[in-house]
This record gives sequence, C-alpha cells and structure tokens, in this order.
Amino acid sequence: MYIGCDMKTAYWIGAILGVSITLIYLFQERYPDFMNLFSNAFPPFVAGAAMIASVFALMKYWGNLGDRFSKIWIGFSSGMVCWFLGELGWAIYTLILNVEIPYPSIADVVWLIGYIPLFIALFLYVRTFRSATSKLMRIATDIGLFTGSFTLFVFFAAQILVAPVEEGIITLIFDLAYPALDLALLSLSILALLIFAKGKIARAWFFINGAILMTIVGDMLFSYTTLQGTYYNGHFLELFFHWGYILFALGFYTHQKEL
Amino acid sequence: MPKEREEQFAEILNEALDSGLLLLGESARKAIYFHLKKDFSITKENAAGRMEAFARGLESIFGAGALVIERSILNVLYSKLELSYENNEDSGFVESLKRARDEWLNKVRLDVSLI
Repeated sequence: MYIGCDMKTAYWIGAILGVSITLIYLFQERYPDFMNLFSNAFPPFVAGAAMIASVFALMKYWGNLGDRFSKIWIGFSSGMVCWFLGELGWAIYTLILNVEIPYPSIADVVWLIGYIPLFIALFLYVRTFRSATSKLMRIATDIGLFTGSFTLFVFFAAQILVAPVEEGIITLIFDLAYPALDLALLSLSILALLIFAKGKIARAWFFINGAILMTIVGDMLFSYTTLQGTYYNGHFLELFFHWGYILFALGFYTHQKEL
Repeated sequence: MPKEREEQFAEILNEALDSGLLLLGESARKAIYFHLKKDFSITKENAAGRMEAFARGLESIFGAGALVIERSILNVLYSKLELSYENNEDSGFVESLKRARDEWLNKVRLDVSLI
C-alpha cells in the first residue's frame, strides 16, 4: 500500500516545521498573547502528526493479531494516541478551563499510560532481533544506561532535597517518572539502532532515538523548571517536545517507507 | 536424477524462505519481497536460485538484524529436510544453505541405495 509523499519531501516538511517553530519561540516577546495560544494549541497538532504516522504504519503492517509486526505497531500507535490525548488534555485545561499550568493532572496520567504500549512495542521489536546483538554491544548499552540513570538520580535527588515544602509528593513522583520512563524507552531503542545500523530501517530508528532523546531533555527541563517555579507557557523547553514529535512522525513514516 | 533432486531442493528452499520470512508477519513478508524485487530483482519464485543476492537484500534492509531472519529460514529448511540444525556462528547463511543441500543430497542418495 502506498501512503503519503516521498521521503525527501517528508524530510523537507519536517525540517521546515522544526525551523519555523524555533523561530516562533525565538521572537515570542513580540507577540506574547499569540505565544500563549500557540504554546497550548500547537502540541495536539504535532502530536497528532506523530500519531497519524504511527497509524499509517499500523495500517501497512496489519495482518492479524498473531503477527509480530501487528502487535508491535498496535503498541506504537496506542502509545502515540495516549500522548496525543495527553497534549489535547493539556490544551483543554489551559485554553478552555483556564488552568495556567495543569501539572500534574489527568493529562499526565494519560501520558504516563502511553509509555506502557510504547515500551511493549519496543521490547517486542528488540526481543525479536536481540540474538543479532553481540554481548559487547549489550554490555556497552547497559553501561551507558546505568551512567545515564545514575546521573538522572543524582540530579533529581539534589532537586528534591532543595524543593520547596509545598511541592507535593505526587508532583515529585511525576517529575521523576517521566525521565525514568524515557530512559527505559531509550534503553531499547538504542539497541534497535545498533542492530539495524547498516540497514535501511536504521534511518527510522535514528529518528525514533532522536525523538526519545528530545523527550528526555524536554521532560528533565520541564521537571526542573516546575520544581523551581520558573516554567511558563511558551518556555523554550517546549521546543524539545515539538522536535521530539516531529522526529517520531518522521521515524514512523520512514519505517513504513523503507520496509 | 541429480537434476531432479536439485529442483526438489529448490522447491523446499523456496517454501522455507517463504515460511522463514513470516517471522515478522504476513504484511512484513510482503514488504520484504517488495523491496527485494525493487532493489535486487528477487521474486518469490526465483529467490532460491539467487541466495547470495537474497542474503545481501536482507542485510540491506535489516543490517545485522538479517541474521535473525536467516536463522529463522534455516530452522524451517532443516526441519523440512529432516536434518538437525546446529546454529554455527562462524558459517554464513549461504554456506549453511549449501551444507544443508549437500547433507540432504547425501541422505537421499543413501536412502535410495538402501532400498
């Protein structure tokens, strides 16, 4: 089944979108009202693009529920649907219910639920091809992840120790949950990238790894700024989430074009 | 007689390739065949006769991951030929196929001579 445009056009669209939103954030002081609207209304669209790309891939690979690729792409699509609903929930809170920073909220619960199918999808994908990895490759990935997790733990432990008393325990749990779950996703996606490094689908995994990395940086900065009370709608850190969704969309799209 | 056996082996190999590629599911198998045809002119029908190109084609899609699909194909092939498959890390896919063919031809020859 042929779905969508050629890869070159898709990359151009992704690059132009990425640069455009960066420019919108760079010059936000000139249009503060628009920025508040953009910061809250744009994410459901970009998350929606990633969701649609994953659903296109699911449509391509769907056979029956027993097929491995069917299960994997149900996982990716369900995760992206949850993240889209999370973004939509945030937009409804801020633009309709007038909650300035709805964190933590029901939207966060939906976001966190999205990690489960995403993790399962990545796990199934990597488990299928795991025997192609060398022991050295697995050890190197484990060491890298341990270092990352340890750095993250030290970073947050330090933040929690200096966090204001009014910062609730639930907020702290959410603050920690996002980057920790991102790292869990990264631990699998890195292995996939290493396995497929010399193949055509490596390009898709390159984008997916980039997307997860962007999400990690975005989540860490979001947790940090909300703890410090310095987060506002239109903060530059939001760019990492937008870029992340663009990369997810490109990753899923590339995958269904290359295989 | 040997030509007949070679054809029989090619037929079994084609079936094994088809079943082995099912590892990821029916739609993924179709997608793999599509890319093999587009980039390497390999079809479901001529795959058995172009094993080196087939292996290159798989590697061009999956990189090191092709190894897993190759093993899946070899598993099916050995079981269809009623031979015991030992996963040998050192020997490549094409080499393993050649070994399977030789072992099977020897086995068939032996069976015929016993009759």
